[in-house]
Amino acid sequence: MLAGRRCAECGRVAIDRGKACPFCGGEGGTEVALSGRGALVSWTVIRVAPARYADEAPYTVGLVELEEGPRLTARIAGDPEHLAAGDSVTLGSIDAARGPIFRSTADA
Amino acid sequence: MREVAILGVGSTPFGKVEGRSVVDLAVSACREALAESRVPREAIQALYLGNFVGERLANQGALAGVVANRLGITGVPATKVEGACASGGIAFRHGFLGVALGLYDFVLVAGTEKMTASPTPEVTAALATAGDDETEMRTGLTFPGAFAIVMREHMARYGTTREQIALVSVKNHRLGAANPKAQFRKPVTLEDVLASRLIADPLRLFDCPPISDGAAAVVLCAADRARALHPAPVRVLGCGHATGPATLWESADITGFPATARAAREAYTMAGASPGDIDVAEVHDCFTMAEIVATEDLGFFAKGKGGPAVEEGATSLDGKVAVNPSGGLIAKGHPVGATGCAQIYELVRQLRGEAANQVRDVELALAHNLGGSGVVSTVTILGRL
Repeated sequence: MLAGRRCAECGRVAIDRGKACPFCGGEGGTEVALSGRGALVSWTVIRVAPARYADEAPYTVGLVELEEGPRLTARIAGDPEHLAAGDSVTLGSIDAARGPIFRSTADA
Repeated sequence: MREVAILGVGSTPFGKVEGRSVVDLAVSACREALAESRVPREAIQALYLGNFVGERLANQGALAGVVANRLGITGVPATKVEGACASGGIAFRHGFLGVALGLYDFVLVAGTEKMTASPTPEVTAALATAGDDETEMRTGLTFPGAFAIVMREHMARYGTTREQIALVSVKNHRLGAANPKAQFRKPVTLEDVLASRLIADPLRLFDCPPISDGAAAVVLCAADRARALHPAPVRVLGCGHATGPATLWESADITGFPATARAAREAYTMAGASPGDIDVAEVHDCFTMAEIVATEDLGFFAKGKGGPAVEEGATSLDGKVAVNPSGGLIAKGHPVGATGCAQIYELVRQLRGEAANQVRDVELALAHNLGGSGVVSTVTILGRL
């Protein structure tokens, strides 16, 4: 699951990567549970991929806003044909190289 | 701060330049700028060189020193500057500061890149290093992809149409066709753009710049010495440099780049100018969408009005502000580390009245360079001395 943290200095919630707050550099904070549910803000289908993922194209990358507030950029699994802004998405898995992978709940 | 002038500029053609290395390209542009400036190379006190992917694609580090040696100015402090696709603009800013702060009277600034010898997946991967790998690019996002995500959001939020965005490509290709330095010398139609192959939906091939080789250079000098040396010096009225989020997820609003707005504010304040005063601008159209976003971030048009402005011709040669008369990155080409200096090259030509697509009655010109998906930007305002 994804871990979140509310920064002690600026109060913003971000994905907890065990590092300083990405928005203000603050070190402290409190843990926030993240549901892994959110909405798709915008997305693209990558057809010309960087060398390391060249054989995976086409694949979808989207900007997701989680229910708890933080945004993240992540792979969106499934057919991109019917995606729409505001679609409900949910965390499917976390890939060691590619990071969190979401899927549209309509696709589930 | 002292007043700073530009004495001379130089540029290689942009495109697939066979048989010339990243060093050769830089040397060629620098020699041309020195010749035009009428300053002997012995007068140059420092070199700032913009370059982004030279280590990865051209196997060449220590580039500034290597270029200085090849120019015959060994001994001067030579600094390579890297800020992704804004490397050239940042190099220019450092040269400007060196003269403005009284450290140097004569500074050479250049940008150079050699990209066409590498396969596209390698180039795509090299360019992707401008993003934040840990939190964004590891997903497999590319720069066309990042701007495609911005594009979809801009369309959804402001009603910007696919046709308005494509018209940027039509305009810039038409202008590039008349620019002898440009990589693409053929106009394209709206239908051509909309039928070109998808690169990162909804962004298509003709929404993108080509992979390019090229270099450009600028000779800067203290303004009080410029008039005696050159009949038509250009004055640097303002030069701003700022950073912003390196990723899409850090921004609450991805339809604008705060780094551009910040750099622009600094440049406008320094120049005592406002957006409405600018007659011609070379802006960072790394994608069609990026030109529209830039014209909004620079204050030429209100947020969300950049799309209609293209459609109404407000960014054409005879429009409210002529945008990218060179053909921009999309048609002129985008040798990434050279672009910031190439924009200055084009605007100096505009201010002297000798540009390929000359804008009438140019008093103030603006250059806007952007790195990554907005991690860094420079904005420079030029006028006559």
